[in-house]
Amino acid sequence: MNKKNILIVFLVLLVLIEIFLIKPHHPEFFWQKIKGFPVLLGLAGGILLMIFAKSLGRFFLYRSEDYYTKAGEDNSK
Amino acid sequence: MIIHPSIPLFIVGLLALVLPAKRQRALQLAGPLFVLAMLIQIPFDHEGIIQSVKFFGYTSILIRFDSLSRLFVYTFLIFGFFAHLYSLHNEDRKIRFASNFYIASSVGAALAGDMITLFIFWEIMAVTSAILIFNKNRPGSAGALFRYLLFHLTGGLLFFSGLMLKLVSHDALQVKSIALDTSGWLMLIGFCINAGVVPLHAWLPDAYPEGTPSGSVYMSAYTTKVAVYVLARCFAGQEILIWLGAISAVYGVIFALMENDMRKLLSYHIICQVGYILCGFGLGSELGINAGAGHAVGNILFKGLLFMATGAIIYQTGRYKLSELGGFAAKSKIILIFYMIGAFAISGVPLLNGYVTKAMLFDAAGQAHLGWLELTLTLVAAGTFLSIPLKLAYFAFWAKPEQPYEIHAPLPVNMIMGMAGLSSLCLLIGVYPQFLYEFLPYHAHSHIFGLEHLIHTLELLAGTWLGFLIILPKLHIKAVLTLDVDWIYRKGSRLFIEGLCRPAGRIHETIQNALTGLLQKCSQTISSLPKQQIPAVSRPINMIMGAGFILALIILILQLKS
Repeated sequence: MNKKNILIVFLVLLVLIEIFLIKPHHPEFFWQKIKGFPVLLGLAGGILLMIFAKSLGRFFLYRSEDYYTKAGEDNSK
Repeated sequence: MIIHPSIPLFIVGLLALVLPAKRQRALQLAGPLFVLAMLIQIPFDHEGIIQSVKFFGYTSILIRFDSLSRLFVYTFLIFGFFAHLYSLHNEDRKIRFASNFYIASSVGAALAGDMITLFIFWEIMAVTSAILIFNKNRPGSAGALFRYLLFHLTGGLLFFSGLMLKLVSHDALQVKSIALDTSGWLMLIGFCINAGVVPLHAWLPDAYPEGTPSGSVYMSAYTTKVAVYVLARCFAGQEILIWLGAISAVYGVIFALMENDMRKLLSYHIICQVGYILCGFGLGSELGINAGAGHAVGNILFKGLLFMATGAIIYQTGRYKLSELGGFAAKSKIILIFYMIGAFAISGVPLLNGYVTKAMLFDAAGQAHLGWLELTLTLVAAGTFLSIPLKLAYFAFWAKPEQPYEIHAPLPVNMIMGMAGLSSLCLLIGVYPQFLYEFLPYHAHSHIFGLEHLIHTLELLAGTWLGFLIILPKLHIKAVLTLDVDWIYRKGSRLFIEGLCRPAGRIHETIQNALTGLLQKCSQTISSLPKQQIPAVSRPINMIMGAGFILALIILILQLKS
């Protein structure tokens, strides 16, 4: 069994524990009423953050490593 | 009357200049412990002990030892001890001198009860920390040092201007809650520069990765935390801190995901964690301030540990970038273990200190009915887990290296001891949070450690991990540089001069020449004076004139608008 499957089993167990064993105390916001919401936040949020950061880099912010130190424009001194 | 606690450390620092490294070692370690023992001796009450000195009619509060400053000073000293232990093999006179002065001035700043005393220690900190950036192995460090100093002296100037305004208007100069008037804003901006708050943060990821392995460990702890402490003193409960904190947290976590240089990635996480701390202080409730202060302590411990572990990798391999590393787990298990303790602590894994303080912070946000804040900070926690224990660890310890590399130097025992010390503190607070609660400014109790919170944390972390595994095949670390706000003064200012001032100067020149021509014509027609040759304006002056011209235009437009 690879790591991914172990994690999925672990997650299912966690959500089951949450559904059957835990009484939520006074949820205030709608996402606090959804069982297993943190899984969704971690999974989707993490992937989206990664994609967002990488595309921000690729389309706007990545430069070659000598960007600030190119010949004739030595800013390191 | 007691000796000021910073004095022994200043003396050790001065001795570093004259004594050889071998003889000074014992003193180096004894310094922080001695001061700690000295402070523990003082009978403590929660009102705080004040020691003041009068000169020229001004009362200077040199020591204010209350529950908030006690927490920070103790942490500074304990961390100072372990950082000294970590860098004990270091023979570099500069670092041994500057590190002691840096710790001493941080302790002095945290104890200072009035603005002028604070300002003096603040400036000593700026100068001595700059010395720690210099690293002969990195050619860019001198430039980073220069930019660091520029930033911090500017911050100091803003602080000083605020102070002067207060002095002129006969306001109290104690370090206490400040209203956001003109002087308040000046001070807030000055403090935010030191705290590395977005968008005034660019000096931090610029300078911190440049230092030597030991130098950067010291840097990671003091400057930002002293600033955060002062912000807590002066602006706790101000809503703006919540906004600045939330923006910094999100910004730091996104930029860390793009980063290739290990210590630069960690630097972005300092910004991110400072964001967390500011959110706590901005909430201003007892729980919020406890959470902020506790997280500041936690951050000093685990961020120092992470800088130590990555510093150890750099010490052994001479490589800084993830794209040049990989497979380090096979080379050194001990660094892997310490790194992972720090990494799990910062991500809020249960049984480590990050879990304790993050739980308090989320609870404080919930208590203030700020759902968006709780949600944002939870997402940032997922991002932290993604970039430090997953991304950085994967590419440094397990990924297949592109080019094989060798270990140059064995790991000194003192480095291992330093890391072991901080790891055990992270574990101690995680397992037995009462140890931290004792020292928090307000009464704390651990009702937050219910099963629900535990399950939610595990769900979040495991979910993030699964996401990382899904996206991993597509993930490659590229050897690139990421632009940040520092572009504005490293590149943009040049473009501003080349692209805007020069053409504007040319327009100015043309208009001026046309006018002089016109005048000459007039004078020719009116009188019979001989024609005078007026020289064309020379180039550099031209540019300055251009800048002035733009400024005049802006002022004109603003005037017309208002």
